[in-house]
Amino acid sequence: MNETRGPAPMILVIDDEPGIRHFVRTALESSGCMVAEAATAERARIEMASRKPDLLILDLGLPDDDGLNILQALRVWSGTPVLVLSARADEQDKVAALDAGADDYLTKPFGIPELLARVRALLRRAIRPTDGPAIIRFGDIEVDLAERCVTRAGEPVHLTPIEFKLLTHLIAHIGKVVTHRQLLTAVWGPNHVEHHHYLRVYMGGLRRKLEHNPGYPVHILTESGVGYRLVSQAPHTGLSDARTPE
Amino acid sequence: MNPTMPLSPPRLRDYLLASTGVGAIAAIGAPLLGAFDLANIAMLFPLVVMFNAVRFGRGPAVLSAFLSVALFDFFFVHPHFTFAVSDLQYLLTFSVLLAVALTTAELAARLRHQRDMAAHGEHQAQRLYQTARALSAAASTQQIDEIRRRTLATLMDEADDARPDTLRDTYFTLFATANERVRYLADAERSRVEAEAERLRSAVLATLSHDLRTPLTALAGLAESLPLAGPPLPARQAKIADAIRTEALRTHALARDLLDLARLQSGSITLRRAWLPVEEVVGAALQASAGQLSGHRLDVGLPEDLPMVELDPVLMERVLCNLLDNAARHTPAGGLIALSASATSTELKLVISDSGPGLPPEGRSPSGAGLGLSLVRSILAAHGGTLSADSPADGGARFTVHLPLTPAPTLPEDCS
Repeated sequence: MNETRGPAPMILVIDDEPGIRHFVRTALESSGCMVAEAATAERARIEMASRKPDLLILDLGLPDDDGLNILQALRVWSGTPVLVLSARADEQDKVAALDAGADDYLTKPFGIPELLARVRALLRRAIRPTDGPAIIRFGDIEVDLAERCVTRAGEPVHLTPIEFKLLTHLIAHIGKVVTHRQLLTAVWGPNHVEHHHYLRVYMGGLRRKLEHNPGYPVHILTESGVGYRLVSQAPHTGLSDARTPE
Repeated sequence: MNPTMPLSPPRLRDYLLASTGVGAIAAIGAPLLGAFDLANIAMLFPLVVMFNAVRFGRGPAVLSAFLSVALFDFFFVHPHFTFAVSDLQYLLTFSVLLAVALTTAELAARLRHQRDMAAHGEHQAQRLYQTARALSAAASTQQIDEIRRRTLATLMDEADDARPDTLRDTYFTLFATANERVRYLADAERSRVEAEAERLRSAVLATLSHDLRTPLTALAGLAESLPLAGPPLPARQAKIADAIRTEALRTHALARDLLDLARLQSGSITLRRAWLPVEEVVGAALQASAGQLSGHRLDVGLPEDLPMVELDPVLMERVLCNLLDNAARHTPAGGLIALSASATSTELKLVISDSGPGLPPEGRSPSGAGLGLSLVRSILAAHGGTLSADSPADGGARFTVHLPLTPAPTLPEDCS
């Protein structure tokens, strides 16, 4: 990718549909990645061992094995980022994959800009996994993690302790989807993983304080049935132009 | 003895046999008169009366008692061969003899009655048991009806006053239980078959959904990657590639709506309801529809005090996306699409209005929109809600989602 220096990242695309492998390869190669392909779980295991990819793009519905099994086997020995492709409409499958260690997902059909944005975010994270900068900016929001203070257009914003915890957890995974369960575990602890409505209420509070229009957020995005994603830029180009001024 | 006729009244033959018995005793006793005392010979008569009572029942026994006294008087008491009595003390003998004979007859007859009742009861229990066994093997209501018909016929044949009503009730209970058992079995079987059919239908729909989505994803992606695959495309070709992509995505959306509608209407989708703020649903839908809405002006007006709603977030996102998509397709580029919400204590209203041509009198659905709106209606119906549509006076079309509101769950205290 353009912003990564050094050798081109190696990406292994595991999908049984040749058309999908083909366009994913075209898109990735056009942005400077090297691509290996596997059509079956068996082939994928061989490629994973021999090519040592920097990122896996994994289809959950493979002919010879469930993609989830590959993911679980991989997570035993490797932290290589995994982007899951799912033709399944059932959000439970995506949540299961994310909770099993997948880093992000894309639902078919997906566009190339979406694909590249996800890949870019995951590679950036893999290269610089910990210790991000102490000050994070998105939109007109500035978060100073060391000082634990948040400003919006220069004005201080008061967050409750729980809201701040939620925000820091989202920042730690910026650009990446975080499941309800992961957020609940991180903020409330493992005994509250079923209390989704707590999370939604606090997330609503956070949006009211940080978003211009909480009914049309551009930073704290909802992944329906899955979780939330913090993005520093609006996901669709031209989106902010389409919005009416507040 | 025939157990099915235990309590039949004594027949003439029984009386004759009982009388013959008494006569035989008299015949045996006559030659003994010289050797035995008269009082000892008199003892033979209660014996025969008791025997007759046990053997033939009360009537012949009573006859035997009187006959015994008569024969005793006639053959044994002086003057012989007349019923006259010379010595009045024999009247006492007669009385005692008669009393003993009658009492014996009564006791023996009662004994016999009890024996017959016991045998009868055992027979009935036996038959009840056989009927119950036949019923437990019956697998259909037809078989049970057949057994009932046969049993009732036998019961009618034997109808008499001695049969207690409880027995009949017992039989009826037996038949009712058997019928119930067969019905439960049939119900269980039917629901098993239905569940199997449902499982199959879901599997077919899921497979179909996957098989349609995969090639359409490839088609849209390949069209999109066309400009990346070689030297930059001339503008006209790039436009065609983009049109191919758009059409593939549109086909995908149609197939998805169609399959989801089929799944909803066959009942194989269960709602995953969750409590969430209205703005989260709206936000997710706006985010998902951002591509379609990018050519329009958008006005989102959500009041701050909207309540929490309990709904399936994924399906409700589809509702709003389909309505937004519908509005975007019917509104010229640059036109206004507005989304607003309001709530009463019992209902949430979400209004999506556009500045397009409005609804034609018969409801607009040139292509595709009909399917999308049908899906919207089905999802809302599953939530207990409805969709209404109208054309306000100031132009455009207006779709209103009505959702019932229920009291929200309790929340942690420090909620800001």
